[in-house]
Amino acid sequence: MRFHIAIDMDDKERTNELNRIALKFSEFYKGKVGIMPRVPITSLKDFSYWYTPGVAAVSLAVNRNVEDVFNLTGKWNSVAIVTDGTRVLGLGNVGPEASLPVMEGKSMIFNFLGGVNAVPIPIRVREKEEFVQVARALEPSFGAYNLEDIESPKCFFVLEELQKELSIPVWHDDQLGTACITLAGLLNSLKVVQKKREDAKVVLFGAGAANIATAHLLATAGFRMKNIVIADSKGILEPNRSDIDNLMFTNPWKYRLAMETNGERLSGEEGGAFKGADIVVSASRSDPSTLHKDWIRSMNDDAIVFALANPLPEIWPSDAIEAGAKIVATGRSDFPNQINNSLVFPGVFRGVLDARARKVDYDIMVTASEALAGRIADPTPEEVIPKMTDWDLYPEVAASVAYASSQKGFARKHESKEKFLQIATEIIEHNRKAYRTLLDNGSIPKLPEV
Amino acid sequence: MADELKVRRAKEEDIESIADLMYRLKKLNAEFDTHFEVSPNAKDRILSSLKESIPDSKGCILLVGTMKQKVVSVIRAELRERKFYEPPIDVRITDFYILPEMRRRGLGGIMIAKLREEMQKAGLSLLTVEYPAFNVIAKNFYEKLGFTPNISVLRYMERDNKK
Repeated sequence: MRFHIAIDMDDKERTNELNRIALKFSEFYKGKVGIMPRVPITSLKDFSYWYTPGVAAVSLAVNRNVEDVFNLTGKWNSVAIVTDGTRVLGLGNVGPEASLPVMEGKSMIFNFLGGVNAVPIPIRVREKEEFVQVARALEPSFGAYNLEDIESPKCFFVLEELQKELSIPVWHDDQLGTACITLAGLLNSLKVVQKKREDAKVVLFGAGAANIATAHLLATAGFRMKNIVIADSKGILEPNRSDIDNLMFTNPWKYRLAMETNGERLSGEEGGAFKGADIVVSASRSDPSTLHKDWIRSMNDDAIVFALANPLPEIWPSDAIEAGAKIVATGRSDFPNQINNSLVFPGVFRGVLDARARKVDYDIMVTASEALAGRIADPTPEEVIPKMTDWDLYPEVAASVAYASSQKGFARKHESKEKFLQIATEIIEHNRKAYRTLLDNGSIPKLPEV
Repeated sequence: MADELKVRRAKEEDIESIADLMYRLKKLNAEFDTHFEVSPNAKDRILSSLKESIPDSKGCILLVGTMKQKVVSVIRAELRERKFYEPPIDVRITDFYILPEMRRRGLGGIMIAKLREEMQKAGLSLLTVEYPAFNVIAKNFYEKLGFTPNISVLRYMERDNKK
């Protein structure tokens, strides 16, 4: 046996063992992704059309019509994964080099599940304006951007500026990916408890990147902004909170939500937000004592509790259920209903790339969430989120996103939804088949003994 | 919404509300520079200075914005003598605060317009404003209303320059 992950291992043992083998494997493979030609090269003579002199004609064609870069190069399928390494996983500011293993992992998932060529690009920048400047300069090579692991509130500024300035979709997965899969889970949860989105009272616990985006996405999906209450360690967010003027300068995104949400103008400590609420989405501290059972008890019947902190949720599912929750979702795979961004970004990016979209917005995200939710015909309290092994999910999300982009006028390429589904399916399957071939014939070495 | 706002001279009954808004402003200023650290008895001092100045508005113009009888904004401008220049009085805005919920509705412009009206009645023509150097929101607001740079105030603090 190469390594040992036993069922009876506790969390710490399992984590230690996974850490050990991750280091060993990384040392062996020296990088999780790489670049390979995707054109036939049978002799060096082939270089004369793939490279000089023939390539000059291709270059001139793009020079004449810059949009042809999508037809004549790999831009159509290339994504930049850009980070400054300031908020990597739960590790904090580890710097750009230390973020590379994570970005490579993300790139691997992009490729495996979405057939996307995603290039990890950790950058060494200090100021947010500098981040935007560097990212802006890299646009020519890519069909879309995925921003990753950037500290808050810098991440809001960077996303907003790049979305304004670039003519390709810009996505920040910690915000938009999490919001998207959260909405998908909530749509099915509401179906289970037979409540309507426009009536649902929602507590967003934690006011970081994910929940700020979730507030906007919920509002776009038909939830009422006035029915959303945001709470964090300083209490309920409302216009008279003592730190509100500070927020106007340091975090205008949170400040604006303080004005727009909480129609009842609840104030005071965070626990007061839960009374009479139907839903809580917690993206807060990785500590199961963060959400108190009393708070869940004070919620409406059939409460929906999404406790998304990793590795430990803000409340254990069994405690939440004991306190009256009907549906519980977490970020973990060992409990029912795992909220996992990997269900979202491969399909969303496949979709925007296939449509050669210029942008992505909250409407498109709602479409993606609805497609994800729709993968479960009859949701139950234990199944409101689809599983990653639902292989048809990724092309399905891609087709929905691509078609919605086309309908909204964001696309450079227009097809029917069926055609987009066929395109996405072919790309993803072809990519997976090519990968499988490399694995089967030993071009990708088997896992070493560790 | 802006038309529901009433701007008037401050009255004695407004003192508590005004003190609260001015205290919030001092706290906000402290966010920009440690040299605006708010003193522990700031609120009491604001209250006593308001009690002195409100009955006859001596040396300053103090206006409040009200909405449904609630004080939602305050503007305080000091009348400062300019011994060697014309015009001889500078009306200097030292405090201007609008409750967060009431912002972005045009109230700021209405408050300034009312202040200018009061100045015209009193034959005053020069209006200036002071705010912490890093308050870009204030800077943009006043520039939009036609204010231009006038005096630069720099600071030197012994404790900052000790090696």
